[in-house]
Amino acid sequence: MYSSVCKGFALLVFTLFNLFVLLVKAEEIPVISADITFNVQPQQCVTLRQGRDCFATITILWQNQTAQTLCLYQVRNEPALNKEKLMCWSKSKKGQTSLEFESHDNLTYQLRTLKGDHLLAETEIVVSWLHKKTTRRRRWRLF
Amino acid sequence: MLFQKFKRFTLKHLLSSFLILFYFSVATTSYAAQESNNMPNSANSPIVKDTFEWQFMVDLSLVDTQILLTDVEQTELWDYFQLGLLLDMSYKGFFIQTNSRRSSTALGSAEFGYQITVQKDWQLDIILKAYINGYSPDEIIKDQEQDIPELAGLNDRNPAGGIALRYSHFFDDAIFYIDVAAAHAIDDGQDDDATGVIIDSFYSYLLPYRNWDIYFGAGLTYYDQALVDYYIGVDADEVSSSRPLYNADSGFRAQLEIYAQYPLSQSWSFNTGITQSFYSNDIKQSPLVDKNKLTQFMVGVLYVF
Repeated sequence: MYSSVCKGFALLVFTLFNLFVLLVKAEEIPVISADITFNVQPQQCVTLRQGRDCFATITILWQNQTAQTLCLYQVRNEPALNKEKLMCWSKSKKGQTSLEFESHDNLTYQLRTLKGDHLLAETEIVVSWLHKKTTRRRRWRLF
Repeated sequence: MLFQKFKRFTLKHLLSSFLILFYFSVATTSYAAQESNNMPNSANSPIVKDTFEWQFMVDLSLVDTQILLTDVEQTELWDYFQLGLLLDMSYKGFFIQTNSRRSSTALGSAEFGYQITVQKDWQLDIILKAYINGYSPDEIIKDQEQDIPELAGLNDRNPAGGIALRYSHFFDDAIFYIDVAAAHAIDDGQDDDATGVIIDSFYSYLLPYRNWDIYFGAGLTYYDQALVDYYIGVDADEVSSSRPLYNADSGFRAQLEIYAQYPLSQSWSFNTGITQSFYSNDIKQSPLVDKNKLTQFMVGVLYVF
């Protein structure tokens, strides 16, 4: 009996592992400047219900061919355009940071020069959901 | 549910059901028509009944469960696996929902209902559903690793369906509902059926934590004497050396539950939960029952179409 249970458990673990592999699959980042690489992971944040805040710890990594003072901005498009400076790296060729993402809308992350505020690279974190917003009020009950 | 399922689904049946429902779900492309359907209730309080919406989900779970009946345990691999086909659909106040997660009975656990009135904080529905699953003692014994003389030769117990009035009260992050149901165990032509009242109440509190939904639930259910006696009583024609005559009294069940859900992607979620049920002490006096506390645990994934 217990060997059967082990087989079943292994099947479940295998399914979950495949899901995990799909989730962490990296995507190409749009880069405005060819000299810079700008990598933000993960690119997608999934919440259970449409309209609810989504939480994720995101890792931002950039690398440039020349040393520059660059700043990281978080841009929110809804309800109004809002550009917030998160941090700057002084005369660096590369930088890395981790941020706590919390939003129910997509957010854009931009890398800009401190001097002149030129946009070098940007990427968007997409918020998606499992259950569409509905008027129905669910009654979860297990057994 | 008062008694666990005993008629085991074969893999073939489950897969057939899955494929049929999968076909119908992918063949229909519309997810929800978001038209508003306002119907006047009184001069100043319009009610909004559910518009056309549907959602189909498939749930694959590993379930560890205990069973009330004497010496009955999970033995086969498929006793631990549950494939649930969950359909929620509503149109103009009519609805079908399978959000009570008794996935082993597939769509048999669905509730069919009509919203009599929907207010901001409360709702009144009329519900048609199966309240108690039946069991077949001979089928159970076939699956067990040992003989169970208390169940051998016992007549089948049929499922009990019921029509109920459901009052639901909504709080910010919680819901309370109570069903007052008239339930009837389906007559199999042997003049051996039962009708009685079931009062089923449940309170569920949602605690969102980051991307998790964590539900804390508590329930209390009353079962009429006629129904309890039908399922765990022993009639004169069923008496044997291991099974004396037994007339059951009415019974209660209290439940505590924690259920958590986490999104893995736009289509998949991870789910886990545990339910502890406490039945009236009296039921252990029945020769068919050897426990009145059940612990049930599940862990699995849910696919949302």
